[in-house]
Amino acid sequence: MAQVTQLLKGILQGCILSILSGGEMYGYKIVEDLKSYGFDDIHEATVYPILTRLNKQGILAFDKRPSELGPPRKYYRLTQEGKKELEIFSSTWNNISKIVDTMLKENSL
Amino acid sequence: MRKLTKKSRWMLYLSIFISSLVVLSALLYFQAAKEKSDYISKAILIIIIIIAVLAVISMIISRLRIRKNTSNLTPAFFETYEQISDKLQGVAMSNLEKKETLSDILDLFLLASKDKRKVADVVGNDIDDFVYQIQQSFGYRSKLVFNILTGIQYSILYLFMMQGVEYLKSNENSFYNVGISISMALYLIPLAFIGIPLITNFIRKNKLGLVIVVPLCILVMFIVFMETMHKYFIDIPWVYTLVEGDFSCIPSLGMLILWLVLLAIASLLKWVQRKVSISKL
Repeated sequence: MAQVTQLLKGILQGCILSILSGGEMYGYKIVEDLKSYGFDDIHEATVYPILTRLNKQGILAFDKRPSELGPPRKYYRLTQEGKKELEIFSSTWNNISKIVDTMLKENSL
Repeated sequence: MRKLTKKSRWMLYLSIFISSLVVLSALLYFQAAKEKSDYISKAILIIIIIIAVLAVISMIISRLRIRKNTSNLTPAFFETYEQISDKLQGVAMSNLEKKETLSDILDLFLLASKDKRKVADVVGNDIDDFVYQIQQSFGYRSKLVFNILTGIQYSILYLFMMQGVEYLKSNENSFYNVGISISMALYLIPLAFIGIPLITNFIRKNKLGLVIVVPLCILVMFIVFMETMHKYFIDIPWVYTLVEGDFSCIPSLGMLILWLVLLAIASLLKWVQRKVSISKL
């Protein structure tokens, strides 16, 4: 079960990087985007620690801008390292999905 | 204006109670020592009272600040925000990181409140796990090493404080000649290594009653231990030294520098530990 969780976290991280490759975005909007792609069970409490960790690892950077609601809002963007990380995720994911697709086709009833 | 929640009121009463206890203890101590006429003792007493009053004022200000910043939150989000804020106080993160995290969460909750979402949809059902995940994302992982290093830092600060107070009370010309009782160090060191980690853990878990119980338990155990030693084993030379002896933890400038270096090394190791944790995330 722990391995499944780790796998999902890895995939989620790749998806966040993919969303941010389209331009900078704040945490709440990233979750909305993830939901719109079908990650219905994902909530902010899952995504926020990932964003913090990626920022600490130098994969994401952020700018703080004033918000109409209250405290300044963080807009995240990919760093050079983040772009490399996305390329690695993308190629790994393509390989894995090809292997899994092939296996499922060949073994399907 | 939003009313204070039950928990805020409880924390306010608790801070007033603890501060009163500290002032009362100081008053009793100086009265028992018959040093009331002593100028330095009066000054120390006044400082203790000022610190106790400032502690209560800072508690009131922090609660008022939370209320001011969160006026647009729905009651459910406000209660959760307050819970997270309190739990973060017991987490091994710097004040700046806690402030930054709370600011991010407040923005998140304001957006969610505006969209009329439910709390569980945003933070899930396990707030403890959410706070734990935040702590991990900042690179704080090994509690044992962190607590040992924090214990070392607190111990050094306690010893400095004790020697400072003894110096102010004594007529010694040199700070380095002042001795502190070995028995008091025997109380403060377990407090630094065991008491502080337990207290922060209970703050995080919102078990505020235990926050008072822990230091009191250590104090009771200390008194029982010392009384037993005094009554039955005082004839043994090392026990006599333990109960009645004193020592100067800072006997020279060189030793003072050594303590400060140790303090700096503990801070440095905590920083390295975090960097290593982040790289392993």
